[in-house]
Amino acid sequence: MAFTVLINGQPRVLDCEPDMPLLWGLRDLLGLTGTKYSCGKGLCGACTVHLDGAAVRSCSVPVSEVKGAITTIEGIAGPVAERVLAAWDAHQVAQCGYCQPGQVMAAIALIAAGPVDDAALEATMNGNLCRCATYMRIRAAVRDAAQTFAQTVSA
Amino acid sequence: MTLDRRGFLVLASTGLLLGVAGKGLSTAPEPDGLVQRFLAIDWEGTVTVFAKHLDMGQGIWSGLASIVAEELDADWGRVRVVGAPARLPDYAHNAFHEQTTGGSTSTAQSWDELRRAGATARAMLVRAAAQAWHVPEAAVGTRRGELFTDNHTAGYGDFAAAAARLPVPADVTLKSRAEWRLLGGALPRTDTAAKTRGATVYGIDGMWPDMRHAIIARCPQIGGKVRSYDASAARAMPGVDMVVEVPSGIAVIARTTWHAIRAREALRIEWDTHAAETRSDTEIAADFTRAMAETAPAYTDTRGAPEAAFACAHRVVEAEFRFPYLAHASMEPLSISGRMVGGVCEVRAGFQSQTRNQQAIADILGLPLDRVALDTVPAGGSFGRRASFDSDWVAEFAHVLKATRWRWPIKLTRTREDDVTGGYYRPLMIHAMRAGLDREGRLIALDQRMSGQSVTLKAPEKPNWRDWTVMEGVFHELYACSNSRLRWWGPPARVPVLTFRSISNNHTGIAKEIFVDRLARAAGADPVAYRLALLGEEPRQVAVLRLAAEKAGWNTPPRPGITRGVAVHRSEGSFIAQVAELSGAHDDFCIERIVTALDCGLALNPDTVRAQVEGGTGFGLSAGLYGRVTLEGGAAQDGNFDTYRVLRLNEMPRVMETHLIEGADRPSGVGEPGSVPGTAAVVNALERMGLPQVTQFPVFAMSRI
Repeated sequence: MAFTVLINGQPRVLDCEPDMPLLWGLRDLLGLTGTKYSCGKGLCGACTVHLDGAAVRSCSVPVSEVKGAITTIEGIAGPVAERVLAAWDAHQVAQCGYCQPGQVMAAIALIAAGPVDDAALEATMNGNLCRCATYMRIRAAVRDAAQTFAQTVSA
Repeated sequence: MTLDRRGFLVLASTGLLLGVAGKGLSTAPEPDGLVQRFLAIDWEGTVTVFAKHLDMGQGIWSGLASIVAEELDADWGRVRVVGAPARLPDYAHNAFHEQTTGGSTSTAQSWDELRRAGATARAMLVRAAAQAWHVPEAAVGTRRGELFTDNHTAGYGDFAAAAARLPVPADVTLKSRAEWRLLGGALPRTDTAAKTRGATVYGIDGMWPDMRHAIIARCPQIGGKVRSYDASAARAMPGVDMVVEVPSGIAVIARTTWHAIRAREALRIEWDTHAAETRSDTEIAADFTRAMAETAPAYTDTRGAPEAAFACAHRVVEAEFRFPYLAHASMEPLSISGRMVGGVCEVRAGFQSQTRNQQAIADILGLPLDRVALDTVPAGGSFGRRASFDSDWVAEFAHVLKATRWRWPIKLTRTREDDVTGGYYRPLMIHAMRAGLDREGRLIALDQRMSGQSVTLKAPEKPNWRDWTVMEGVFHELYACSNSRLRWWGPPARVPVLTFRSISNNHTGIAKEIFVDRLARAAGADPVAYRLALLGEEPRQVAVLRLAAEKAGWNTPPRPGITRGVAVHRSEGSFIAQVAELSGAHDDFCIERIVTALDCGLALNPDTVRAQVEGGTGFGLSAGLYGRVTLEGGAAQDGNFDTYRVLRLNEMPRVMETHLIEGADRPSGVGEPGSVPGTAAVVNALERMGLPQVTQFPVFAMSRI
């Protein structure tokens, strides 16, 4: 079957079975490899993408059930994304880097959704595993990005 | 020297000049090809550094490049790094004599050759500019990728071609420490932007024209083989191209990874388990413990007269620790892709042991070594897993390529479950300790017994062989005790085991540091002071312990509600002490702060060093507090992150302060030492908070979600 999905602003055709997870459509059919496979069961957050701006685990969303616009790490843009990326760079967060696209996607959706306190930060970012344990810098980068974004919004 | 395939590609795409000995480019190639091996400068002045080591997150690509860039006076913003091809002797590890990455040795063993490579290239650029400008070489200066005199300025790219034609100077002067402008400073990693934006290509991201995806069904019981199989249902599944048998199992070849995973479930396989492991990990541990009582040790090291000293002891303290099997569980599951084209096997992955990996593929495919081209790309973690001595995951790929008669390019991926259940674990280790203390609580006698597998997977080379992969970092070596005995038993098990970040230190160091803390408690002594008294021959451990204690305010009471624990260790040539501060209760706590003092000699990139201490600490805590692969009937029960628990963000120490001591004028290990003492420091605090004495790891039982 063919499914047309809006991905990074472009309608893309995924020719596959309806239950194929979006993750594999992105990676193996479209070559959008910035979205990472690591657990396949929604346990680690490495495959996080945005569905109408909200963070979803692409390994757990069947292609046939995607009703909305998908944004992957390759397609992020805008003031929140810019601040998140700048904070990730400034804090030199990445080590092996494999989980970081998913971390960045989770952080963008979190900050775009409203003010971020420590409880909200933990509740969201706890869902994204990092075996290099870059968590201290992830925490610092999310705080920084949230703060600089809040300042521009209120200014 | 002929150009390898990568060299040709780079040359064709960038007009690479200095650094590549192409026909007509160099009239007098260097005797050892130092510049050509490690760097290249193109027309536009971009510097490409060829990294012979694998970057698996530790930042070594950036680190190696920074050594070259310093001596070259390069513009750091125009330095890029690619993996060097697999080739001996050009890219051999200078101590291990094969191309490999391990033991936190990469910086130390590259230090001299990369400084010289950068300085040599700089000297050639200077000479080329001096000749063109008709000035003495001494009049030509360099800065950030530029050559200049009072009257001239040019980019390195402008003179790369001319420099490549010059004779290579035999001797070059290296910069003095005072002249450094990159090393020792705050240098951003070269790979940060691409990794953060999802642009880095890992092994699992490899793509080739008309590629197919492979998934292998392996025997759940570790060590089992295929007896017979029925693939008719799997072959009928959508997207499936082929099902083939390989030595490790049945491989499904399909249109996507998902199609292959789904079709694998439709395979019906009868396993031959006669050579497979049959025991649970609890039974294996019991057998290992029994071996210590009933069999002769494989290794004994007796110093002084320990039994006589025990007879004089005022008090004896005993402890026994059981360390579980651990899966490395890198975020990037093992994946490797490649093809056969024109009689050459081209393969892309995060290769950690290129020499062995290349040989394994060549052997399986019947190719000469120079027909196996490895493209080493950054790895999404390894922690030891990619360094398997038998190249298991690489060999498996070659078998799939062979079984499919290289009809398509193939990408072989392991699912998370394949990764966690597939063996090659940190060894399960029993560590029993007994200490005799005198009336003042001083250590006068020590007995240590260890029982578990060696990661070398081979019989001892000679009687009473000291297997460093088992015994490095033991109490017996690191603390002074004139009457001591160390014994190791290596009982059989069919579970393949492997290096895991910091090799044996990840159990010996933890056992040592928890035990010494208990001795201090038994003696009624301050745990820092007690350690200092035992560290007479270890001045650099003394220095880090004193500094960590000072920075943590050890001699002043902590805030109310805070309990401290301390640990110190030496591994990979470096010295580290950590003080942990915990709040809450022993069964519901928060690690508020960890203060670290690290002496890794010369810290070339201090922020990267701190990042390795932070991440290493988290990795070590994950293993010590939560990690365990449970076996039942020889099969791993933990397949994914729901049961194989790893550290999450809220479990990370809230604050980490890392203080560096420069205890030598050369760099030593950074990637591994930070992963060792954290668990012990935290356990020592927890035991002071009332946690019953730890006997088994992980400290906290699995929470089954």
